[in-house]
Amino acid sequence: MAALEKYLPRCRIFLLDGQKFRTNLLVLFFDLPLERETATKTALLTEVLKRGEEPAKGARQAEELYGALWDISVVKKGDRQLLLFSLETLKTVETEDALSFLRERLLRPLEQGAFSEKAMERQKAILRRKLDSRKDDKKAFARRRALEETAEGTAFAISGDGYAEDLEEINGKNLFAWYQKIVETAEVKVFFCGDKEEKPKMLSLWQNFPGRVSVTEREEQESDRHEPPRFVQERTEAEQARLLLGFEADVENSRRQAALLLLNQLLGGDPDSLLFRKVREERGLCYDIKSYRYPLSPYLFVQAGIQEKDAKETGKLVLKCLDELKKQGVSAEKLRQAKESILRDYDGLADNPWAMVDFFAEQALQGKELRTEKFLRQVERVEPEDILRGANHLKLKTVYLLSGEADENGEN
Amino acid sequence: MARTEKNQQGKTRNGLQFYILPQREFGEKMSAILVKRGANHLFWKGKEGEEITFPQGTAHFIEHKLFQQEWGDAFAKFTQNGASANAFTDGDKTVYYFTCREKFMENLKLLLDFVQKPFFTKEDTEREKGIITSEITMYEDDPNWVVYYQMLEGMYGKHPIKNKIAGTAETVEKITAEILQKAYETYYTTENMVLVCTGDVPVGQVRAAAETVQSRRTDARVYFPMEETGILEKYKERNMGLSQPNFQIGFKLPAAKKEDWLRLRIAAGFYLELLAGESSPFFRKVYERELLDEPLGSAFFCGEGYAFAAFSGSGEYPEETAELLGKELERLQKNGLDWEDFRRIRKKMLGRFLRRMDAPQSLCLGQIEWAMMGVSAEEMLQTIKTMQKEEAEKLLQNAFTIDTMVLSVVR
Repeated sequence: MAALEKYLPRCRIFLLDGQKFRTNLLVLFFDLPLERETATKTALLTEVLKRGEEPAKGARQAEELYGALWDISVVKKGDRQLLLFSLETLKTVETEDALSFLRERLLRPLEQGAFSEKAMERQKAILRRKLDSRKDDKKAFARRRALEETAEGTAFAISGDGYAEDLEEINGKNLFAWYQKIVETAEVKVFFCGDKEEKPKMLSLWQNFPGRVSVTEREEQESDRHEPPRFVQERTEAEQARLLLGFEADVENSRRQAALLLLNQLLGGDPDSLLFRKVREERGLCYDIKSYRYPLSPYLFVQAGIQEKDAKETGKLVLKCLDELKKQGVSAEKLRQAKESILRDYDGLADNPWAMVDFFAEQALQGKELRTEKFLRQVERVEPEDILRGANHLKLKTVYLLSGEADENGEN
Repeated sequence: MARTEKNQQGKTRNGLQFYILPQREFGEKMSAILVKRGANHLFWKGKEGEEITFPQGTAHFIEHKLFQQEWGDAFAKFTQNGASANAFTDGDKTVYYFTCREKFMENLKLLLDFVQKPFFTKEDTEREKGIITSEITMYEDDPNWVVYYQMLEGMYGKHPIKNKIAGTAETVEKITAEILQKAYETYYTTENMVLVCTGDVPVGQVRAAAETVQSRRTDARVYFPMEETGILEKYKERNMGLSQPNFQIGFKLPAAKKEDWLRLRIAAGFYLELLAGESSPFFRKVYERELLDEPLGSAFFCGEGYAFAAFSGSGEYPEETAELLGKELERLQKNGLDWEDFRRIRKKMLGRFLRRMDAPQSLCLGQIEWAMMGVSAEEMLQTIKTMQKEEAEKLLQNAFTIDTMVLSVVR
């Protein structure tokens, strides 16, 4: 992709129609490239900004705002790390009060000139524990490891939650400087889903983030598609083994992206999908089987919770299902159902403020139009041949198996 | 803002209860059949007083297999009709539901039809055992699940609430197609079923469809083994190789009459927040002492023959955390609830409740919960608005005690 440079206002505010809801949703995020050098600092900021030196202050203020739901978090979208502030309030809460709550979380910390070392140490310990305890959720651990292996060497493999070993280098001073840099220079996107009348109040957020940014569309990261698939096995204390197959897909243009969305749906997206029917219902090999994608990334994964002894059989069966799909193609009827299911999900965006913001944020991050129509038309236009093409271009990169500790004989 | 036209609730001629909650601004529609029978309903007395006992996991097994119909798979049929369907079972209930945007009536008829027509075959039942056993194994790796049931084992000796919803590999093995059929006939009676519809639904047609549900009765009567008021073990622990202990602190309460569940639950909502919520003095203390990084999660459960509150968290020092929580409880009981805090928590509870009433899905799932207590959203709202500090204190002051506190830890 050719590098294209353009200048945009640093802060862009998007207003979404939320007239029918009882609540207003305000989401503001700084759009940061996901890089190992800064990932942990950004992740630590969520802890520092949420609790700071007065851990219960935000909670108490939110209770006064009729139990406003708020959070400061890191969201990983493809190869980007979003430092995200969200606030959902009942419409009986004045928008000024909501904005003032947000500004207090966002900007007040900068008035102090530095983050206190004492509070920082506490928050570093919190993040360290959170990172350590990620391995306790076996399902999520296996998913993360499979992504790391499959996307190795690219930004997609970097953890948005940070790294425990990188915490050592962070102190109150350098973290403060990083936050200052973010607030003063990073791209800001604001999504407000609520009543139209509140628009002028929302636009006041511009003043907090002046300036323009130069946006360079990044080069696509090339990966070696010809490497043979890798088998990675790890062990943990677990009753059930988790098998994941990581594929790289062709997502070069919108049509291929739409085809992948449908391929995922047909392969393991719901209880009527190929893998669910063949692996679970016909063979009874597992309860949990599905395929999934990560937004803004070129990967597709299949995951199954199985008995370790069935790993080889399950893996082969998954690949056999995929082969059958490649040979036999997909029927017009199945494709129609898959399209309907996806279109229904996207139609449903209008009924859910969070889903609406999430979808439009992804569109904005890709520099696409903030309208669902074009996207939906692309899904509608997908033909059985596109599915076939997508399936044929799936390149198996990783087979990852997380299983229980081996006994003395090396068997589980 | 969402304005709902008049909600409709009542009973059909055959005794099926219904709640129809139209939300015209939304494209999504949802419908659910609630069966007020779940994993706890194991022990029955038949017409002649004979004992009937179902293996643990029977209700959940039915939930898995009811979609299988003589003509094919109802799950796939929903998908073909543009709906997504699912089901779940807990101790007190089994729920079947779908959401869709088009063909609502067609899907509703399918829902009402398949829940009335079980088709359990030997072959299907045998194959499903492997799938359910795999589901059980999956839960066994979930520390939250393990720590919760370990807490219940410390609290309850006889009440089936202590059993895992899906049963165990051994009890699932005992279940046959005949047992499923017999349990179905015992559980799925019209008086124990409730229809809930939300979203832009045609009220008249829904009512007409509800009228077609046949009357089904049983002579069998459920009973629950008499449970001691005290607990069995104050402390239970298991090792799962976690990086940080995961724990639950439970308080066993005396079981309440059904007519008291509503006020008890709302009062408990206030009490739990005031005791251990994010703005509570307790959280400030445990955060400062580095016992906890995040506030404890809390929930209150009550049903036939049981009531308990549970606090969940993770931290290095579960014993110290539990001890502090116990002390805080005693302090609250001695000094009473703070009026100013009570006012603030009411605002929070109102806000959170109104939020649940917004979208068709959350309203439908909410109404299922409220229907278990026989109340509507409006009654819930009124109870939150009118609950007095003194009433909350009176309802819970004597029921909550550290004598019935159980600490369950998974390390």
